[in-house]
Amino acid sequence: MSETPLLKIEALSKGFAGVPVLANVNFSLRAGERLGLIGPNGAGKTTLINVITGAHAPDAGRVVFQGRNITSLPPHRRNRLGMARSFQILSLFPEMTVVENIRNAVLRYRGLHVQFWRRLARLEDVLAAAVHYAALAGLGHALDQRVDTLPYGMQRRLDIALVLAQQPELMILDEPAAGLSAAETRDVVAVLASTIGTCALILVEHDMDVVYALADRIMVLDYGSVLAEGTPAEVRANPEVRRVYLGEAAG
Amino acid sequence: MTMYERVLQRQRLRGEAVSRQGKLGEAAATILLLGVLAAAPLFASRAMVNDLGQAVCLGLFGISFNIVFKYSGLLSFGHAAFFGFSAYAEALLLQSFGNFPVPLLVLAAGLSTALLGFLLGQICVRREGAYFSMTTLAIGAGFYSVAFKWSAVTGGTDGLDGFMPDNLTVLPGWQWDSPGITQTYWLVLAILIPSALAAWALLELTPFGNAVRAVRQNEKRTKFLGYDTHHVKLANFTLAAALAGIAGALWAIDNSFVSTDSIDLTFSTTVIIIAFIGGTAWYWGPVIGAVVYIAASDWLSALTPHWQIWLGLAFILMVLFAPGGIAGLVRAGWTTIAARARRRMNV
Repeated sequence: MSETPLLKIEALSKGFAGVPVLANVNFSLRAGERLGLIGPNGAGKTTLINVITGAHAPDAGRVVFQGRNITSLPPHRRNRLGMARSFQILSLFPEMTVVENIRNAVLRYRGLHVQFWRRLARLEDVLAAAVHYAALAGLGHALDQRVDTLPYGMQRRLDIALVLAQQPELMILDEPAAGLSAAETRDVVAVLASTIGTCALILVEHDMDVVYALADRIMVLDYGSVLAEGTPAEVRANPEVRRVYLGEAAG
Repeated sequence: MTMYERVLQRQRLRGEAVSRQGKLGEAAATILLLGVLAAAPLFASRAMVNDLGQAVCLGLFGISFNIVFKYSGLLSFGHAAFFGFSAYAEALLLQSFGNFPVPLLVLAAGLSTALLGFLLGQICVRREGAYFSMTTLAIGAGFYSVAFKWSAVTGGTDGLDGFMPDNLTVLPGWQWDSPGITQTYWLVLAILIPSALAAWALLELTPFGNAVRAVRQNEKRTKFLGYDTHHVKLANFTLAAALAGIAGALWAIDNSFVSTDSIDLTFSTTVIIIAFIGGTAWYWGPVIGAVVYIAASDWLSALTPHWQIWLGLAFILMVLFAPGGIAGLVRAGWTTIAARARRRMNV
């Protein structure tokens, strides 16, 4: 394949206090591809996301995004190249309203985020865009609610709205359905399925129904290494994967 | 698209209704405060106007401290470095360029202090919590010892005086022959109020101010939304330094005297006390704190030589039982009265 991948992870290793968490991880992601990242607790999934997005520096290896080595770029520079992430433990602006939260993302995406010579209230198209993304995530009825008064399920959707509002090329979602009821999980999957479009996706999730619904390729991490990789059907049929992760009962 | 427009309209109307009362109350309080300060010479004694002149400079200094504290969540222990630096700078500028218009000299001192804040901010703003405070403490101590030791420039313990020109140039072609207390007071306010209002507008009305608040609420998420959070905090720190600079320069003009009192570590704690007594939640709270501080120090020092003990006690009680300061108490009282009145009208 001559096309350069959107994201290329080369021989990535990372340890904490001498304990290896990622050991020589390699994979690549084409534009628009949707990768489900699964594995037991402590397999290194969140660490891998943190290294890709710049929260942690790797001990060895490279992160190449859009053909550019971004291994040493800080998180905000990587974000501006077109990768947006959500957080397993919710990370929002608790004292702002839903629409103000999303507006923070829209302002940055449009490069207006530190303008000091214009009135924020006059930037009506920014507000309109924020309202748009709130509605996409099913929060159209809660625009003026302060986030710390919002039920957990709606905060989860707001997290996704923040990612969508950045119109990224690569979306990295860390357990977007964590802590949600079955009904709420279905809502979140529906929102994602209808909005991802041509955006590439890395999805960390324990709920296999969510992974099967959204991912067209699955990678299994175990003890910091890639245990298996392939289509959902291939991974499901892999005996090794069934042993360490899915359990004998699965499939 | 029409649906969005409708939703947008609804959200704007509702948002306005919710926040209108609070905002109107704050605006009314601001106008009242600034109006009383501006009109003070019309009804107050000369001694009071003299005190108020000091109080408003201290108040602007308190606002500067609070811009770092309230908007960036950082507690500066060495804020007097900026105030004192600018006070000395203004004294030296007046000595050399006494025939220049005063606003220009104040602007020059303020901009130099902003530059100083930008440079020092590179060191301290990257640090958080106690580490930020310790770095600013070290900076404050360093500036104090320079002012104390470098007597060739600063006058050492004697300080600087006699730098005020006899003819004060207010604007090109407009001179005051040895201006009185009231004239100086109004000149100070004419520079002070627009400066404070400009900083308020930057922080409360613009996308920049929104970025500062976003970083304060959740720096990690802001970073992952693509904001350069270090630069946002640095810009806010620089803005605060500029205001501290204007406050220090006006203080030098108002007092016609600058000493190490305006740059030592005690003064760095005084500004913390002022901000907390007045109330850190309201932008103008520190101005109230400064007026109360000056009044209390006048009144208490006439009663007892140990007046600072009582003031310190008042500060402790304030922090423990009224963390919103005087502004917070007034607001709570007003809210209670308004709610009671509304209930009575409904019944």
